[in-house]
Amino acid sequence: MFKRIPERVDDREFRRFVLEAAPILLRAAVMMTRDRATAEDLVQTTFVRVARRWTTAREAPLAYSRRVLINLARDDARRFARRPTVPLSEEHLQLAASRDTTSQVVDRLVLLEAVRELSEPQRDVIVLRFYLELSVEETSKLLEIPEGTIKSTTSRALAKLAGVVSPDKLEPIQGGM
Amino acid sequence: MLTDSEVESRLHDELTVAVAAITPDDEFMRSALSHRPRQRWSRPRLALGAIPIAAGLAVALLVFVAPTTAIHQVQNRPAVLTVKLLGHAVRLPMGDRALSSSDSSCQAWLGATQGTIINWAIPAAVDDAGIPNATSAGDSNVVSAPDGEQSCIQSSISGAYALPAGIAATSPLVPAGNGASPTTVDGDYAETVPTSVQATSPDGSSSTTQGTLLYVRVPASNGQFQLVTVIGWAMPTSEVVDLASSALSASNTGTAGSTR
Repeated sequence: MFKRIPERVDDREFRRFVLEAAPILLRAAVMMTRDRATAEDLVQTTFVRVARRWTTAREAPLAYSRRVLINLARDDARRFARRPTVPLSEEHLQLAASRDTTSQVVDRLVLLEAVRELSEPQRDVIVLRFYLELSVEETSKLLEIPEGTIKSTTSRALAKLAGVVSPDKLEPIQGGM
Repeated sequence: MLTDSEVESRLHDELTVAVAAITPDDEFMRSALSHRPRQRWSRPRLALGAIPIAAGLAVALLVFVAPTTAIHQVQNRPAVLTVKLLGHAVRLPMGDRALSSSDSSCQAWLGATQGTIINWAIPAAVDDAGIPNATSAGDSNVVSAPDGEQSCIQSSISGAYALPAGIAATSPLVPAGNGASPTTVDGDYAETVPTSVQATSPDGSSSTTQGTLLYVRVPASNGQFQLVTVIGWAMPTSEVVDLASSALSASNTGTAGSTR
């Protein structure tokens, strides 16, 4: 009969955490960084750092890893020259406005690109609040930015994204951009 | 014009959908799972004191445990990269391999011996039309991950049965209150249910192993259905679903499936 090979409790917990957190962190990282390869590097580095600090992180590993990932993404953005922040292009808005049979796929690509085109603070706030579903208070603590700034940053980011999120309501937004 | 809250709600929904296709690939997961968490005793201020203890333990392990453990290890065997589920060879996730032995059943792996009472967390009764008895002998496989962690997966399929009046193909399978989560496996309605089993060894020690029960309601001929049951012990739910999906896909196509 087989005997199970004993395994450290921490190993099992960490493995479970990685399996659960990998897609969540990777998707957030893809939105926050330049490309998927960079996003994968940042998430792997996140796991390394979480593993090193597992004694502390194991209490709330997802929250801990989110903080690590945000910091890494910010460092990465500083290290590399960022693309200039530009308002949503006419091409984006036209793509978003076209509602043909492939519109859903196009919309999603446009949305991702639009999020990436936001300024760094706006992008971080959008990803944290509307993908990772953090509250204003949690986002404020994580980014170390006052709650009022989080709200105003959110408002400005939403204004930029509104044309992509609601293509059928483009007219007033286009006029304002 | 949408209100702010409507835009926020829609943004959340669309972001979730937009990134849903972004999934970690095998190589990424293999690398991610290769990291090992640092143990409490390995913190720097304790490390020096821990060295003699660790050395002592290592010697003790070599002298007393290694010979015992060695007879249970599967050595010099070719890697088996598939498991048999529902009668089909299904490819395991990258890095995993199936262990073969004279008795590689999940029950034996769990440590359950003759006379051991297995306490199921939920009743095995699942279907609304009276429970169809599993008619296949069932497949059972012990699987080893690259890090040595072992798990076990088994499957069976019932005979064909008719749904009673008022029950649809997507009606719940497991009675409410058992923690079932609906899902889809190869296009068929399914539910996963967390479960656990407690086994007592001959020496009196007991251990609890967590598992995932997966039920799939599969269409059969003449408007009837069959109930597929897959149980994965110490295995992530997503992996249980992936393996079952591959097995059912192979059943439909008549070929061996793949989990990736």
